Amino acid sequence: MTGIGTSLTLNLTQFASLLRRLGVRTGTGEVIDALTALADVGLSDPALARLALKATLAKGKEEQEAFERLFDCYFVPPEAKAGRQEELRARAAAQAKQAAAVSRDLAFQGAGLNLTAQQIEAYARLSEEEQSRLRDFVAESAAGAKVGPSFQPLIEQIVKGHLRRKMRQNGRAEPVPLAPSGDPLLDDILSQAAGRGSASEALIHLDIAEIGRAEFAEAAQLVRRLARRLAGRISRRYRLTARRAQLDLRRTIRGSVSTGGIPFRLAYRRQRADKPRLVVICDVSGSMARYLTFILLFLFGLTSVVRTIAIFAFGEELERLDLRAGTELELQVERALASSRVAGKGTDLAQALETLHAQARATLTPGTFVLVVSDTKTLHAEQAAALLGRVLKRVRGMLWLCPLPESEWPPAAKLFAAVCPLVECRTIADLGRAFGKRLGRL
Amino acid sequence: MPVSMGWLREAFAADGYIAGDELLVAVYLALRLEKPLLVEGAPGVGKTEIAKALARIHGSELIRLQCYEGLDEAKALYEWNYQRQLIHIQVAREQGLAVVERDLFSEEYLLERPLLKAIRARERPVLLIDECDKTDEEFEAFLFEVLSDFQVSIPELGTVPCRQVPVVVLTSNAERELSDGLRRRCIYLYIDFPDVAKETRIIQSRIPEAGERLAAEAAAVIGLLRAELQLKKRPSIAETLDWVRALTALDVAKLDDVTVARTANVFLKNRDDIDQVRAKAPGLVAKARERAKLPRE
Repeated sequence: MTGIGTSLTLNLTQFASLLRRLGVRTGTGEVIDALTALADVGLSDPALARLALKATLAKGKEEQEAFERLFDCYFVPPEAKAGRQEELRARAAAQAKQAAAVSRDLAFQGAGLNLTAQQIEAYARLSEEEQSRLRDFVAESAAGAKVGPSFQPLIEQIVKGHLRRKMRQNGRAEPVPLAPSGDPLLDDILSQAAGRGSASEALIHLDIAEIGRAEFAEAAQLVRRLARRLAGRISRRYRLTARRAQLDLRRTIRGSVSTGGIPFRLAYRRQRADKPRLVVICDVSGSMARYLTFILLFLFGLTSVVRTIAIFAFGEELERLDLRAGTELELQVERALASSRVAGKGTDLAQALETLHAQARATLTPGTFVLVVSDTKTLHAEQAAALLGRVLKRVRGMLWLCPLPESEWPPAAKLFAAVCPLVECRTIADLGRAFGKRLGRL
Repeated sequence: MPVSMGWLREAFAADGYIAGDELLVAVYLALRLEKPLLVEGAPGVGKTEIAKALARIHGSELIRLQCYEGLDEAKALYEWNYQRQLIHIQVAREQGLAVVERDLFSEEYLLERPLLKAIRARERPVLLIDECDKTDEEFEAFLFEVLSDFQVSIPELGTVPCRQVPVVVLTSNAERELSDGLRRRCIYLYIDFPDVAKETRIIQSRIPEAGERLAAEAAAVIGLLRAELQLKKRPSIAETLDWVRALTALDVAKLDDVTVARTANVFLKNRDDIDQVRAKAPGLVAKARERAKLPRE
């Protein structure tokens, strides 16, 4: 590695550590490769040096995109770096002032709301009229007779949701939060690189309920791709059992008859892939249509590794929905829910499970995996949890996907979490995580 | 021959492979650092072709290991020729000769599979491990081990070291994540769909009889479809080439909307996609020409 100075080595090490914080899996081996590659191609042509680093440090499409963003922010001339540092100091002072003002403006019973720097900036960018509407909302919510400090997180969520929507409307989607490193310049480089993420990256981390019609097609494509990738992983698992090929003695001996008793051709036993049947029980109260659409898009994408998918909607009662993979799934879900007799009424999971037990018992077999999609807000939660336990005994496994953030889960969620795994599933990324971890148990 | 960027650029061009700097740098580093090259990208963008081009450029043998579900070490590395061993035992028995185990497990009965063949090759071969995302985790770990040491142990014969570190090209359609270990070992290259100018050059280089105008218009239309339509399966370079070949066979010298609609089934392989393109065919060629900034007719 002759020709590579210490400062370049240090810079490259720091660059690699920033890459890691952006989610790129770069190890020491890769940094050594990058240094060797740089020594080989030289630094006289910056474009070649950049490509050499890219090929050795970032080993995936998304990772290379993150590399490109970080490279542009990190490798800048020293004078630009110094100027940026000066700018940052000035911005930090201005932000502190702005934060104090917003904290006074949006105070909930005297305490400022817990907003991020981007949200504070988004608030400051609102028109006077919009600011005043938000101020009035917080003030009026805080003034209720039985309203205590415990209401603050709820109000905070509403305000944050509003500001996030505004940011998106203005094309300033909130970046995925990164832990601060302590060095303001490095943090700034990182937040710039993270903020320049592609539209699909933003969609992956967006609450499914907030995905607009314009973004639907792209989001649907992302979900299908995710399902295809995961299906690949599931099918691989099946083979682990199938691979342990055992000699089929019976067939081998029978075959040897034609060769005078010499087992000339060996026959092997192959296990059949054991595909699960999926039963989806979905709460259709509130704004569940969008969640159901995305979850179904995902599940239909798994058809190569799933035998059948039965979908039930529940409110106070249970009803089987006839939804099929194919185009216009969104429309199918909307129509099915509009004509459903259980939609728009109260939620009683216990009653629904009783019906499932009584009428659709045949679907619950040891080869079935049950998926519950609900916000856990139901009547008779204790009874429902007990019934859920009964269902679980009959099937291979169960997973509960909750479209609410964990901080907003009602107390009943604990009852259900004690029976089956309960995971937050608000975004496409959550969907991938929820299934990625449990593929083997499907 | 010592490899340099300039030499590689000329060699790929002479072979008819239109390669950008990104591809050249990755291939160059793989050759210089003697590391496997992992190429990812959508099907039909020219991943496998890199290995074929490298073999032609170096004048070396291309050894191909096509991965599939259930591929195991016996199919990838070596197998004993069981039937031949049995015949040997039978013949020996009939002739009253003793069978020594060492005779049965000798070179004569060894069936070399692609990995062992690449390791034992006298001249540096190009080893293409195609669609490695189709194998399972176990095999991937085994592959990782072979690619780390470039030697294998055959219990009956001992360790077989590598004579020449082969040029290894692994391709993946990125249908599933490959393990970090395998990625770490490799130089990485992602091939995206080409831009209109590059695809035009590819068409001209592969189908010179298509003519300049048809090549540019076909590349422009495909570029527009990939970018602006939500297709279930976007047409690959291979499909563009098939389409241009079909158009040439039909004596088409310039594109119009009706021809695009009529021949959409050559580059699209899904009914919804074909319907979508046919519905949007009016004005499509003009729009594609404008988007690609082709000179006015």
